[in-house]
Amino acid sequence: MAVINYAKKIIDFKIVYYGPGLAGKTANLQHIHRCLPHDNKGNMISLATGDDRTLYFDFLPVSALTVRGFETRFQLYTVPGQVQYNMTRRLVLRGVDGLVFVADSQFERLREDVESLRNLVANLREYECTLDEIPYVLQYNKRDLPNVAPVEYLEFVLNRRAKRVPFFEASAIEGKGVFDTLNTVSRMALASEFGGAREARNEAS
Amino acid sequence: MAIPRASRVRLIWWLELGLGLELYACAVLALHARGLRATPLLAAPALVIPALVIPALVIPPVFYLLVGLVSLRPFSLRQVLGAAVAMCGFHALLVAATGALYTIPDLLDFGSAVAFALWGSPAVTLLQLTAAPLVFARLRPLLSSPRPARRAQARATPPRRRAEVPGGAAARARDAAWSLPPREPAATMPSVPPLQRVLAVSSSAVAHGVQPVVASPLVLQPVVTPPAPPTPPTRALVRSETGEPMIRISFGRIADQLPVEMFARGREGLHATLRHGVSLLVPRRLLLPYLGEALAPVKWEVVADQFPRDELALSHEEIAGRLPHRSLLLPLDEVVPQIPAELLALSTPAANVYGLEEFPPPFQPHVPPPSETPAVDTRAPAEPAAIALAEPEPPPVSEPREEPEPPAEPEASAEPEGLAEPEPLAEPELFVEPLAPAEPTLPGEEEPSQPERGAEALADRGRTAEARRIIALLAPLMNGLEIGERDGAGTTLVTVVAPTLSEDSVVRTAARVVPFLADARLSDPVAQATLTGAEATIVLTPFGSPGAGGALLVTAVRSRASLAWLERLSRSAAGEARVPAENGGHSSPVGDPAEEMELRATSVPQSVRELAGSLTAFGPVAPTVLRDTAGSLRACLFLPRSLEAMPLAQFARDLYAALEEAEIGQVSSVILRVGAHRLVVRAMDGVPGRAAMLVGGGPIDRPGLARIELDRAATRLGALVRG
Repeated sequence: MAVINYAKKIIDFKIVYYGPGLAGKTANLQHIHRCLPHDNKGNMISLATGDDRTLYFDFLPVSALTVRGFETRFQLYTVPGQVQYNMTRRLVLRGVDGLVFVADSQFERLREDVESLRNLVANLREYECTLDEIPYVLQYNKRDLPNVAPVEYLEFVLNRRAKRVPFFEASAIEGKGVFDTLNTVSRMALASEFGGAREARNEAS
Repeated sequence: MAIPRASRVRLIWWLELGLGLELYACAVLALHARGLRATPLLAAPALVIPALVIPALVIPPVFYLLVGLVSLRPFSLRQVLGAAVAMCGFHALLVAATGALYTIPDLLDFGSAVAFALWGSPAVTLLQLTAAPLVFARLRPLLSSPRPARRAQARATPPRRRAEVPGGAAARARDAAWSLPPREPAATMPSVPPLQRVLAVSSSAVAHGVQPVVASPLVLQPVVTPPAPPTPPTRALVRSETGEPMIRISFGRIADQLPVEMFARGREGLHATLRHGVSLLVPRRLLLPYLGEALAPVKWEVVADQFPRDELALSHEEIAGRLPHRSLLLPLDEVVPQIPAELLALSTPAANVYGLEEFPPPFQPHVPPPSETPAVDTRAPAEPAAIALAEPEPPPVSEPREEPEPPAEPEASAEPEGLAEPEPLAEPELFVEPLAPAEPTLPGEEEPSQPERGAEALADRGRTAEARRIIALLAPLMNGLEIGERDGAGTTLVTVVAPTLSEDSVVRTAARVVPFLADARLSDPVAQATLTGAEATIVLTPFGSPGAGGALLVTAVRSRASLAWLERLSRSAAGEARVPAENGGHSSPVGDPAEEMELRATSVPQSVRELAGSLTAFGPVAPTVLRDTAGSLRACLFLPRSLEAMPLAQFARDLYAALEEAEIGQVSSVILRVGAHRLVVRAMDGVPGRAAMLVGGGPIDRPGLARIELDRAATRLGALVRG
């Protein structure tokens, strides 16, 4: 749930980049940090291990447009993808307003994608929440590598819930698809908070 | 010269066969000697009458046919017939041999003896009916192998692509073990191995230039195809004889999952089998259920028949038992391209994203020229993001600062709570001393120092920057903890304190310990100290040497839960911000020099020795008991041999004295990381005065066990002293 400061007319959204280890979550944030104007971003905080793998999570605060009189700010988080840091992942998910599942498109990493997605669902369940209730997009990363699975198979494996969510092909290291992903999940979070999607759901039901 | 493994295997087979036949002969003679004959040998001519001969000629083939039907899997009429014929042949040989045996003791003519061996004794016939299938089962792999000359001839045969239309090919492949391979024409291209057998290849696959799948009764031989440029994955449709779609997998891709010992020729055989172009066929329907899980497992039993039997040194059951879940994992990058797109198409509706168009894209990338792009040092953030957001423009130093916003406020609800703090963390109220606002540059990018600034000022500024870095590292993790910067005992203390604790108390207690962190009586400066008091637990982590003007990270929480995690976190943060120029020298010993000589070692009671043996988590430690001149017990030490007891005892005594009446309540233990050692100073339970227990050890693998052992030892030691 977004944090709203009515006095200051500020609304904070929490966007979490989830996915298996080495899928490119930190690369997404690094590219965003690199490409956003200075006055739109804070400093990126990363705590990495010796081999540059995220130990806790990365954190990047960015500010965006003003919507209905509220200044919107987004806090972008990643999670440590390594299996042993599940407690940290679970903590990072608390209060999440939007999710980006960063999948590694390589064939040999698909199994880890599936496990990570399953882990995401399980961790959300701890907060009595499901993926269907949270603005959520898929990013098929590393499309620039040679041994990647076709998108239809990635969809078959990772996007087979009751509703198919938007997906993006990306190469975070080159910046391809990074902002498309971020903008879409941000707009979904905005729509969810400001009623667009919610009203639409109500109308549909 | 070592005998090849395949030769050894065959030799063993033949020895087993010979032994079996010998046992058969012994059994036959034994039966004959004991008179278990149904009919006297003199009556043997009567056996030739048709009424008696016909059952003898009919029953064994029928029996062998039944054996073949029951035992051969997968079922194939051709295999069953072949097996029955083979066993009948063995039976005939056994009858002839048995007749020959009978001619010796009874001096019969061979014809009568054979007639008797055929049907003269039910016991002998039963032996024959048993022996023939057993012999055949053992000889079956050998029979399926071609003779060496043929193999050599086959290897010298030029390659020939042979593709068969669906139907019958797979069955013939399964029959490979029963039939000899077709004779190949004379060699014209000796260097290229031949194609032995094609399992199943559809005409469309051939039309697309797909390599046919190959299996050989002798060895998996490659199909030689003309070199072609790499092509994108094709959805070549391969079908079995029944028209079932099959998935073709290069054998080389799954070979590393196979145990090497399964091959009769060991690695040599494996390498021969791994020649490029050999493939396996797997029914597609078996893989489809698993593809959604990004897996493509196939049971060994499914592909077992595609491996040449004479190349296998293990039974299929043994091989399957050595595979995880009795399965091979097929490579997805070979499987998926052969799956039709329609099978992967999802029919679920797209999620409703209605309303997005109301909102313009919030973020527009701005790609500055390279010189404008700030470097991102992901491992050295300069400032907490909250500060950067709340106060993007640092006020000039000369101007009075405006009311600082509590920087953690906007993030408080969104950030995860502290990992090491189990109790509910309240919103931070106020910083004790809010840090300076963010500087626009990272520490490594700071502007060059002005000439007029002295080295001390430089060190102070660097230290402050490092303190900010630590805070930045800890800030998102310890939501709810108050972060500040204080001076204590001449050292800058970067404090991270739970809001329920008094920071003043924490700082004053920490200041008591600061002089001890680089004490000369220790072999190395203290890398971390953990104080457990009645009201709080404090973790002190120097970055830089406190004695050389470095700073100290002071983390304080109320609970000991996740203390190890907190220690590790503090070390990581301090390690990130360590000032390299300050390498941590020793300072003078702290304490009253007049008391240093008053301690003397005394004899160690047996009960204390036993106590030392109970501290297993610390490794081997030796007990030392120190008393003062008045004979009062002052310290009991359990230290490894590499550590000298007396200076450490004096250090512990002084530290213990310094922490008396500490602001966080009575300190029950102090844990010091000193080089590779961990020292624990704690009081003996229930012992008044300044008696201390000091336990030391190397790296402790089981800190929980160490703590339990310490608690027990303190209790027992206290009881001993009081007693």
